Amino acid sequence: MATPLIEDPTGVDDVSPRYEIGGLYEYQDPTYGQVLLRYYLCTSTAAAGTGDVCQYVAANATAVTPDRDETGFVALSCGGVAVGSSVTTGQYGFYQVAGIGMVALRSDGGVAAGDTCVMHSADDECDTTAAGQEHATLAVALADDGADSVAAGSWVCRGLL
Amino acid sequence: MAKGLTANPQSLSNTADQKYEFGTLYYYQGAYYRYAKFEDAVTYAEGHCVAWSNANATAVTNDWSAALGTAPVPVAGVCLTAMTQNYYGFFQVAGIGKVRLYAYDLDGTAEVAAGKFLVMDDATDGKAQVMADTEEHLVFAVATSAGSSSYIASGNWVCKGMI
Repeated sequence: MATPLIEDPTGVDDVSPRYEIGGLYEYQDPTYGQVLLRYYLCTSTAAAGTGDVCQYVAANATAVTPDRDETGFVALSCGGVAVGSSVTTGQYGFYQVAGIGMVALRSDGGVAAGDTCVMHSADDECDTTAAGQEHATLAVALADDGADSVAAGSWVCRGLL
Repeated sequence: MAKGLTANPQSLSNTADQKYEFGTLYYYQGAYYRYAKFEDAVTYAEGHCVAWSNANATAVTNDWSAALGTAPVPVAGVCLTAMTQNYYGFFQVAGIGKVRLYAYDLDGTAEVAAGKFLVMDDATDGKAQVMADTEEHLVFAVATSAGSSSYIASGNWVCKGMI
């Protein structure tokens, strides 16, 4: 189902695609165990940073953006959480879709342990699931967030596969 | 996608010491599992729902009041055997149910009907119940056949949304 990934995905920011775009990859994180990632084009007007919650771009499940204002974005349709320190606009990187969170998850500062999370209206972030958003849940937080993130290892992907 | 197990995870569960890696997804005969410490016991049984109980995804509990979150809490998986408190074992997270599932309908007594979506109950520890409105994001399983006597038989339910 998934292709083994040997390279550390946190350092990937490819000018040209070196992996199958949209493909599913499994990676053995040295701290958090096995995780699943997808490889996407970043189309945002700003780079996707570590832990950014990214949504699919309309009609194209091979590109994502952390920018909620980008033309054509698909509301609440999370494509994954960026694991690279920076995926440049127009370049390619990995986004986590299953497993224990291997990077800190960007959040709005109001997420509590045990909350399920969806994409926030603010760029990059997630928020606690509200009524009517249940179908869009992307993670479960296992610890309260700080000012802007839930720590690595303290959240679990949910419903992105 | 996952590390293969060479024996049934049910038989590999309930050990006093940690034998497998936390976090990793494991595969055995068509289903997927995770591994954790089973703590805060309200006497575990095969088919109990378990929820996350610590901040680093290494421990679960069947006691909803000790789990993370506001009830009904998000389910981490389904317990495979009668675990001893604070022992280690596997729980199912994807695939067709390999053990019976402890569950009942919304009124707390009736059997679950086929096609119902399930969440963790906030009245009886370890038990699942049929989803109510606004609990859609907490669904962890679907009953594919009707239950009986508080249980849905193995093979008659399917995991949903836990990986």
